[in-house]
Amino acid sequence: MNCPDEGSLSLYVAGLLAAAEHEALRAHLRDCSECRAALGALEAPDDEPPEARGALVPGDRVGRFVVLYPVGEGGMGRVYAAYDPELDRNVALKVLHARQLRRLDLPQAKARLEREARAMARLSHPHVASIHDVGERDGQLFLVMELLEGGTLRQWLRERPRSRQEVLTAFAQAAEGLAAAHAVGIVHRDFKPDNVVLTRDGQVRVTDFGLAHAVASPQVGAPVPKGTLGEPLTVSGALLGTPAYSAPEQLRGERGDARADQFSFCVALYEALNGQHPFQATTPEELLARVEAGTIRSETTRLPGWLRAAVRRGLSASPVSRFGSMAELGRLLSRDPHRWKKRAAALAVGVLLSVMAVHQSVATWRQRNELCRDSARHLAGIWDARSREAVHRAFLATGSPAAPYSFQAVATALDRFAQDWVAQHEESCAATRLRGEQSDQMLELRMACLERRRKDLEALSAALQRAEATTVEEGFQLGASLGGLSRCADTRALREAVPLPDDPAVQAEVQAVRAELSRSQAEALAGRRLEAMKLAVASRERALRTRYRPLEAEALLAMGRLQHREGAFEEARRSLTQAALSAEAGRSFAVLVQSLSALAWVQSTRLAAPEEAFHHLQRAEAVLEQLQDPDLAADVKATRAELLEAQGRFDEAEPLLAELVDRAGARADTWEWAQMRMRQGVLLMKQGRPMDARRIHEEATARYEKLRGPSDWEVATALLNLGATLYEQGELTRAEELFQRALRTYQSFFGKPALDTALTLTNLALLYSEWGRSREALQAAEEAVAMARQLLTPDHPYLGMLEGNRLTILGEMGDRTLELEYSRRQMAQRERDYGADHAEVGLDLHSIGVLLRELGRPAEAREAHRRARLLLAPRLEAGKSSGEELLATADAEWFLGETVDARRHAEAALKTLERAYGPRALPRVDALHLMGRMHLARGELAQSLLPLQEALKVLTEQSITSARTPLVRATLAQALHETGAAREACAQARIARAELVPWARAHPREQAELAAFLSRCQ
Amino acid sequence: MLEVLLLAVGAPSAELLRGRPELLERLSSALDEAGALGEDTAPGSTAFARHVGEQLGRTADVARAIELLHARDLAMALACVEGKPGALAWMETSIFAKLGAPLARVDASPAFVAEVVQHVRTWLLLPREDGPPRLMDYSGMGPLRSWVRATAVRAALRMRKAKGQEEPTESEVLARHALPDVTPEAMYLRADVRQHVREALAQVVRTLDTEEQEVLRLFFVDQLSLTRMGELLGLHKSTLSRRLSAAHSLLEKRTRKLLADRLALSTPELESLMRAVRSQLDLSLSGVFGAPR
Repeated sequence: MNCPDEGSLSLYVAGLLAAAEHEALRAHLRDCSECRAALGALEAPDDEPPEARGALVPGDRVGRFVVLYPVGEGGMGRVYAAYDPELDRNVALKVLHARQLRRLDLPQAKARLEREARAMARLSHPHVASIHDVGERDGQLFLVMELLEGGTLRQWLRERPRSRQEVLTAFAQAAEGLAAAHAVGIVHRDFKPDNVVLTRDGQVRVTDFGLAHAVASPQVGAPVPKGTLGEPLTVSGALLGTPAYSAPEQLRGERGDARADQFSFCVALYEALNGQHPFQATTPEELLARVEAGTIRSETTRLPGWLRAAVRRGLSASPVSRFGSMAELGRLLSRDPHRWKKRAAALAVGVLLSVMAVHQSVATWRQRNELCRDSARHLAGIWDARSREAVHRAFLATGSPAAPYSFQAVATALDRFAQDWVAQHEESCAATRLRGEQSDQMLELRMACLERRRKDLEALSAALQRAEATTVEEGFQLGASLGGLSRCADTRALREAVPLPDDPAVQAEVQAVRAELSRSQAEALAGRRLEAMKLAVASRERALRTRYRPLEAEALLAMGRLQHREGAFEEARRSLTQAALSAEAGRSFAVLVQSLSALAWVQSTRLAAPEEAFHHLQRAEAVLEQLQDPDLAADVKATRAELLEAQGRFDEAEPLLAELVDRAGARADTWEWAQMRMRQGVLLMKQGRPMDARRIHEEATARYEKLRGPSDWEVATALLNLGATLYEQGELTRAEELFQRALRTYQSFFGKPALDTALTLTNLALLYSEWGRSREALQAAEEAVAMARQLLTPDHPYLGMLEGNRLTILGEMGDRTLELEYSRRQMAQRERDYGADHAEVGLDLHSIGVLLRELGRPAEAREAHRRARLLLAPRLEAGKSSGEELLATADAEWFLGETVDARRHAEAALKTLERAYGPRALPRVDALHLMGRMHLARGELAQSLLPLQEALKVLTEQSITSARTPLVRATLAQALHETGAAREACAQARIARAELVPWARAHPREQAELAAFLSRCQ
Repeated sequence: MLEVLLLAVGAPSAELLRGRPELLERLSSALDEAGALGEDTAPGSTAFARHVGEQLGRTADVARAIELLHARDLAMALACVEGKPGALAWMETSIFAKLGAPLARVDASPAFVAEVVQHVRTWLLLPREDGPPRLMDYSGMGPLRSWVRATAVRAALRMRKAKGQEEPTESEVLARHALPDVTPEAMYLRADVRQHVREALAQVVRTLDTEEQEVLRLFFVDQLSLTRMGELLGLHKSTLSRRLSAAHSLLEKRTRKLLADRLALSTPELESLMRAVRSQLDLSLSGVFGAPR
């Protein structure tokens, strides 16, 4: 027969060929290797990874069950929580890995599983997890089991050191569960700490009975395929169970009976009591040899003789030497005379959701057997691939355009947190268990601290999985707000804190309130401030009732921070003050530092009480000195930088910000980095260094764009700042582009009056004014003010600034009086903020002097200039003046007739401005103009022409048609006239006169001078 | 549309179906499913109804065929032949793009895989001189992906043969399949040791009897399931699995002995080596058997 085509092959496989054809094809297949290969390919399972194939999402139906959420993943399969509508209860669905069943006949495996499940269903025991049902979905088998919420015995053991009594209580329960199963003829065959769950109420449940056995693949390549073959239920001699816990008979490939479970149980018990495996071995072969030789490691802890003997008997190589039954061993363990005296309460359990059995392959077994190496498992179900994906979906589901970017930021932050957590967990474990450098008590303290942070993470992950638009918005700063883990490594601080009260009821309440606080923090980080506030209020009341000071402090701090964010500054101050007091009483130094730092911030930025703010800050810094907590140190540093900036102490703030930028960079926290970078840029602008600021703003802008996508409002803010530096540098065209882009983004993003939109408009107004487009400028400036009035209280500093810009523009159009009045108010405000002798006040005063000159009030102008020069003098003498300060000094001196100093300072100003502002900056133009006038006055005609021509060139290039241009041109005309170039002088003067027309009301004196000059022209 | 289908399925089956409303219900929802694929993907509705009818008509048991019918795949196949862009794109990404792994078993070089995929693409999608494209032969019984995979594997074997490459040396086949460097165990093996392992395996395979070789070959090279093997060989599954296990442990035992003799390893070293070998035995064996000897 010819080779059949694939159509016939698939009909053959389906059993749809007529009998004769079927026979003929079968005969052909026996001889034709090519057709067999095609047949193999036809029937091969899909090679896709199980993730792609089997992953269920919430809402999926499996049979009658509705998937609720993924719980975790084990070697056997993936576990989901699901709802059973028929019986109105939640269950766990364990979907078995396709790869477990790759070459196994599905119906056969299902039959085996059903047989196990039926047997298990006969068994209802408090220490055995129930199996409800077995089903099949798209060729995948699943088990329907009791949904257990809790952690595995292994996690529980790793969480923190457990006392012997605790261990025995847990194992005695597990023994009861095993014994009950044995009584109805069920053997577990893969007992290990991963297959024992401690529920939240402290019950011990043994899970996955017979599962390893039931789904054992007939893969012939499995380890140690010796001994009995062809048993009805084991297709090959494949090793069942996990080598580390397997009885020697199982290691040899035998099936093992109830006594094999007893051996596994004793391995786990020995390990729990001694912190190491009973047999020193790195390979299954070695293990078998050790077990057979009976070389059990000596116990690391002192155990009562009876217990030591019992465990060692269960570890006998020969099954007949072990206990007659699990029940016998169990009774012995329960009889521990100390057991009930000390510990009647349920076991304390970590809140890991998991029902997992982790099947250990030979390859990973060696590693996993090492102590302090698998801390990552504590984060399973909290922050792992699945919860990450769940958060991702939730973010995308908000439909916010920033969602993908925000998710990236969130995931990065949480990944880093999880990584740090695991590293610290393992390090702490190793410090006690492996290196012996750390006491058990310290291990316990550190683990308790880590456990609390883990719960924070758990609450946060859950909150993020319910993301809303506000969550997406907050997501970017999550990395900065989440806080680090360094406090859990600060051994001294941990030791000094007031310990938990002895009363177990209070202890439980403290735990409960802390859980509530975790949730409050999580809700706040997820942008649901109202929920966060509700939880915080409730927990504050509960916390105060416990009279446990550290908890009080935590609750009050949480409250204070939320009040701060809500704008309730006075309330925030009260909460934070109380928080600091409670923290001090409870010796909770980290909380104390946080409270003081937050207090300082509120006092400085919101309550305008800089002295008190510094007082709190200095206390925070003093407490911090005793701590080893870099996260906290950075937090305090940021506060100090903010306080310094608010006081105009820019030079002192600068190095602090630089450190914070470096730290954010080192932590790969993009948002924090960009944020700090932007703050740095703003600071540089305030220091009169737009060239440096520009570079930094460019970096920040690029980073924001990458982080948040090109059309996000935070990018717009970066653009606004960058635009401002360009404006200062005289690159008006590019500045306008950026302002317009920012404006468009803000308008589409906010769609309504917004402060950011107002700020952009006012910048545009200034720019238009330079271009001589006064009407547009005024319109934009007025719009900005109107917008801000809807949003801000009348005394808000931004409103003053916007109003000031409007008045400046009006002033250039001729109405100087209001401008002067505003400038005076502005200066008074600055005196309050920065102190009366600050250089910024000197600059304000200089502007006032200039205005007074324009207004034709020279006496007052002279007074203003004199005072300004005095205020600017200290920095001048220290050689620290900015270009603007130098220019103001020179200009004042020139007006005051101190020509030698004026000239020296003008030259210095020009140099500094060139360096700090670049060649096209308007202040440089002003400096050039001043230089030109000085040379002209001294009759240095040739020297005067150069700077004036240069100034005019810059102005023309940027199409600047503000009054600056005709004023420079008028001076140039004069200079030309003096050199004898009369025609050219007159030509320039005529242009200047025309250019000055729009500004005539603001510059009447200059206009008159021009007219006089022109009257001498032909 | 159901009428069109019933007309195409042929009188006896149509009669049977008319008496089974639950089957008609399933067919009707199969047609709906195809219709719901969207304008640039769904095949013409009449054509599809006729196509389904014809495919069912070819089977010996129409009720069972309906149970096994992969309506969506069948619709996709027809839509590809009709040139629907959505269906063709799906075919590329969901079917052709996934052929790499099964084809790598024949020859892992990317160039070869690409060549085979291109061949399969034209072979399935271009009209024949005397009929419609071969994709029309897909009956919808079983997933389209499996069907194309089988076609591709067969094409690959034939292409190798045509190139005169049907008899690669054992060491070549072994080099291709045995002990890829990626597994942690295999990384321990020095290149010369790896070579020894390859040679030993090949040598041991030749010492097995025909029956032992046959079960190993069916299982590892042809990748047949135990059920299918049992069916082909007329053996009960438990017998077959016993035989398979026995052959396999014999292979392992002899390989171990041979390696122990050749490499003069200590017991732990040998155990460690064997673990590495074992973890890859599946692949290695398919290499050994890959060449007819």
